[in-house]
Amino acid sequence: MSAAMCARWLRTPSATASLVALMLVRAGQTLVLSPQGLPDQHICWAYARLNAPAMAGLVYVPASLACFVQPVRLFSRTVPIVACKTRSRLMLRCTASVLQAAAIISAVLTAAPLPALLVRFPAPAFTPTYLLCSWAMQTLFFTVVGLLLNALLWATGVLPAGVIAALIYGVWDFMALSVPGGGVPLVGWVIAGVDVPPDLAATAHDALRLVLLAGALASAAFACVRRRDILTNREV
Amino acid sequence: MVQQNKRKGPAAKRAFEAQQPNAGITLSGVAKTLRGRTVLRDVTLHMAPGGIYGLHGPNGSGKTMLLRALAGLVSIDAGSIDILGERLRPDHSPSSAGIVIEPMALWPDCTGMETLRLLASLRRGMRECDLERALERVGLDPRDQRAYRRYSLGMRQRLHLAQAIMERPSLLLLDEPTSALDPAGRALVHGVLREERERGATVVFASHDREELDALCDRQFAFDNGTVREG
Repeated sequence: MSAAMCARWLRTPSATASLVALMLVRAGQTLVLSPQGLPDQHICWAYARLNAPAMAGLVYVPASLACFVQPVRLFSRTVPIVACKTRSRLMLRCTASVLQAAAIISAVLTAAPLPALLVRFPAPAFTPTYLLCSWAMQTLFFTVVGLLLNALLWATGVLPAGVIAALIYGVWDFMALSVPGGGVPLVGWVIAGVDVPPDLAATAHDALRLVLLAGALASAAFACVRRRDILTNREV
Repeated sequence: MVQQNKRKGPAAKRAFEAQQPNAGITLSGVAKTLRGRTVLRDVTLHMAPGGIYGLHGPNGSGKTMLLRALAGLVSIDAGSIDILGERLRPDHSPSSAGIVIEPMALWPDCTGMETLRLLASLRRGMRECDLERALERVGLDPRDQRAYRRYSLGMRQRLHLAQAIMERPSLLLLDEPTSALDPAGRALVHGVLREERERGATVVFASHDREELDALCDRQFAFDNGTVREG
């Protein structure tokens, strides 16, 4: 395990706790949906899109933030900035760090309910193609969350601003999932779900939307990081 | 001579740079304004390579801001900074620099060795033995399993210095690196900095302690309200 991975996951109790919390939430979804007496196909769809209790935005986003805060904060401090030599390399490293965390969170969320799903729906609904698409789309969603945190940190210079922005993004997504006509344009978990079986064209279209959003956030962070002076709170 | 330098690697490059009249650190007319307050005014000075340079002055006089400007952490409004023959460009940091400048914020739950491994992962060509050696030089045990947040202030300062010297940089920018150390710790750090000077590194050291600067530095610069003079 690399030094960065060790620091992030083994030496950051909040990140480890948030991963466990995400796994428990996914397991909780399984329990919540089971007794509803809905047709199997409906439950299968709800599981697959991970949005049945519409809690993605309200629970997953805050829980995942703990995995992003430490690395994003680290990259805003003096030693990593000088070690990276240029601000563009700093942002590339930070973006890669966010992407890595998003991929791990997504893998946890994809894998956690699989045993229950495979028992209940043994049909070949959850193919490797589906799992890969689902993992990739969730990775994109969480990448957006991490990059939003990063962009607001560099735009304002204070971490809580990034955390609040990410939470608002989660609420926006919750509205898209649960309030008719809410959360438009659709830019969150609501478009990260993959149908069973996967509609590759629709998935690619939604993925492009998330990639564009992530690209815009990364560009905004890059524009801000070039101009920002690194000062202590006292000096600011 | 330049071709020879390319063939022989970093050590030869440092020796080559030391022979150049314009190598070292040169600031010309550097100015910086922060929130309407001028923190650096027309700063012009030169520091030859391979020396220890002290910066002193009251709080808010511009010492730390100058270190930040040299590290590429703040942009300058006017003037130019040349470090080891290279003009410091906006958005860039010196190509070989170790720093102790706040805010440091190292990983709170990592041990000293894990902290250095994490920071080394941002650089290239660092070996495990280099990291262990850096910790040992500042009087820390590489096998110490205590987390950074359980370190005393003095141990934190030693770790900060260890990460600054672990890459054997050409330039060390240190902002009050001994303020929390006991006399023995200070003596140890002074020894490390003298070794770095012997190796060819240029050390810029800000402190309020004039006695410490007198004992350690080859030259000193006094700061007052953003202006600088030698002495």
